[in-house]
Amino acid sequence: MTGQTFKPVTAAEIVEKTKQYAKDGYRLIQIHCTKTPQEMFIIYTFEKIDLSCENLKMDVQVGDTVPSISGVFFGAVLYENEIHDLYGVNFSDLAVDFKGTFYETSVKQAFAQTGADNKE
Amino acid sequence: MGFNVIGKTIMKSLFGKPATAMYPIVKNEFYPNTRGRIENDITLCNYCGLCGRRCPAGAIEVSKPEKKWEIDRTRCIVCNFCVQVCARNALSTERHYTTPMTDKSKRITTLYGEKEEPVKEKVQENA
Amino acid sequence: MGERTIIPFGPQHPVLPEPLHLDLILEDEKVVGAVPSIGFVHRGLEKLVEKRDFHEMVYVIERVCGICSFIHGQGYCQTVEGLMGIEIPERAKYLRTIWAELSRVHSHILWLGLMADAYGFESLFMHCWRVREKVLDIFEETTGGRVIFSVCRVGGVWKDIDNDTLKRIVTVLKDVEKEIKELSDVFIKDYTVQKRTRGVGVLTYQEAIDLGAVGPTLRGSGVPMDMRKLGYAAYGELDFEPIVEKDGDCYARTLVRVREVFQSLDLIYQAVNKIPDGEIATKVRGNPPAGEFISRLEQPRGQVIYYAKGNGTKYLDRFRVRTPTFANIAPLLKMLPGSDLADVPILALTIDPCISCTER
Ligand code: SF4
Ligand code: SF4
Repeated sequence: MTGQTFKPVTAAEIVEKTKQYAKDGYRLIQIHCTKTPQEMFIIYTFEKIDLSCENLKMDVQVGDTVPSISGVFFGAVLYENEIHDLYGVNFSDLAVDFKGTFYETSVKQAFAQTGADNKE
Repeated sequence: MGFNVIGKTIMKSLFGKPATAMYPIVKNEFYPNTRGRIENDITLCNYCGLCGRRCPAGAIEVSKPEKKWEIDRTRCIVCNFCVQVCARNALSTERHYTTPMTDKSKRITTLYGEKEEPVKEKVQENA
Repeated sequence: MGERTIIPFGPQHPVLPEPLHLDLILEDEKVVGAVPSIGFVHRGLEKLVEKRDFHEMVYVIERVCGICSFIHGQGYCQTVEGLMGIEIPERAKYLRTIWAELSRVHSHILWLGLMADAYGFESLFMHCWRVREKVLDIFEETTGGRVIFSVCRVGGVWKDIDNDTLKRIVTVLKDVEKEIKELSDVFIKDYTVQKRTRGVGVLTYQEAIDLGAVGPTLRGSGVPMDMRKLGYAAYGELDFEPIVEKDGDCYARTLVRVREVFQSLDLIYQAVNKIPDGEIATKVRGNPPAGEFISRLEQPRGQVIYYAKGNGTKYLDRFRVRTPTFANIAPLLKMLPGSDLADVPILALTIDPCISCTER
């Protein structure tokens, strides 16, 4: 199956890279964040009309500010707000900024705690 | 053309069998596969506790010294996983659903194995 | 230019049983903007993966949604199998395909019923759901559950359907097909329905691609993308083409779903003819290794993406579900401006929103 490679990318390049993908006929299909005790990163997935897909992987930390790609793909707004609310990563220049009200969780940044932090 | 379609549907509705069943009078027939609720044949159980550890909903509690097997019927999601993992085939899925309850304390079903002779079965619906 | 008013739509609205909230910005009767908010029932199921081992997690992931529950289970298993490098038996692949397609049939019929209800065609709604009941009965007979099947497992499936039952299912489905044919005429030919749906909420080809629309919303705008073409499960061996409509309006999206019902039925007939005998599950040894895997599947509502990250223990580090409705919210926001307030419920319905998926 295609799309199992994860190309590293930095926060400074992400907007440029996204524009390049947009030019090549890709579209954004998802962004998600992962936090494990060892590492934390965001994965961007792009897909082409022939169903091939590519991933970019960007290392981040809680509290970092990352440029938003919602200027290129508007759909990114939802994913970025989700990551902001659940992981506490900030995005600059969001097209629509919910300011932390997208998911009203009782614990702020609920997903930023990992299994090691709160063992039963 | 439109009239024909509707005419057929009207005829079917008028003279056909209703699609619904008169529930309390006509009871629903369950299929042999229907997953209703979990039952334990306590004579086969050796209180290993595997079902309780593997249950995704945390519905089963087993205690070896007391020979106790307990299920919280309102927590159980009838996923059938405990039935698959039980090495002694003590568990099975009954076709009938748990009856609705008005009293929350009825949700827990506890089975005790016989203390000395593990042959006889003593079933106690917990209060 | 009229005065602007903001009207809240939802979270409790008669057309949707689930909490989706839209702040509609209106100028007279025309919608000029919309701001969505979700998260009313967010459950954080993805997080549970750190506390449930990877075999148990199937049952949790299945409960992400009540309608596409099977495909969620299938997708989870497929992702973990991909991570662990397990090849499942052929028969299991076909069984998964059959159940997945049955799910699609019942989901689309359910949606057609809801759509009929949104126009005010109450008895059409009832008839759609009456037909759907037959599909649910097939589920109950073969898996034991009407909504949540719990038949998928990492490495295959739990239950087999014997060949006689498969034949019987086909006869039942032929019945369903006949009835849907009758009902679908209303959606396709009825004057009133066309008045409500034609030209409403147009999403152009390019918009659909850029905004990341998926599923019937995408195909209704003329983009031939269907994840089943990736050939997962048994789809690689079945003969089908993505169903595409050009117009991009509500009518086109309805048409795509109507035609997909027949396509899915046809896929089931093909699968029943081709299904090989044999094992239904392989033995799974060990734990998912450290690594990552992404898989994409087609749900009734569109493409769904799963991402799994293993770390060598029996708990996965991360499991992510990107559900189709989540991706379709952005296109919905694009469709709304320019439509009448009265069309908003229909527009919200044409993306087939499944909020319980979105709020996994
Ligand atoms: S797994 Fe079987 S034998 Fe073990 S405690 Fe549960 S029911 Fe008893
Ligand atoms: S059926 Fe599933 S939820 Fe119910 S007790 Fe067994 S393992 Fe637990």
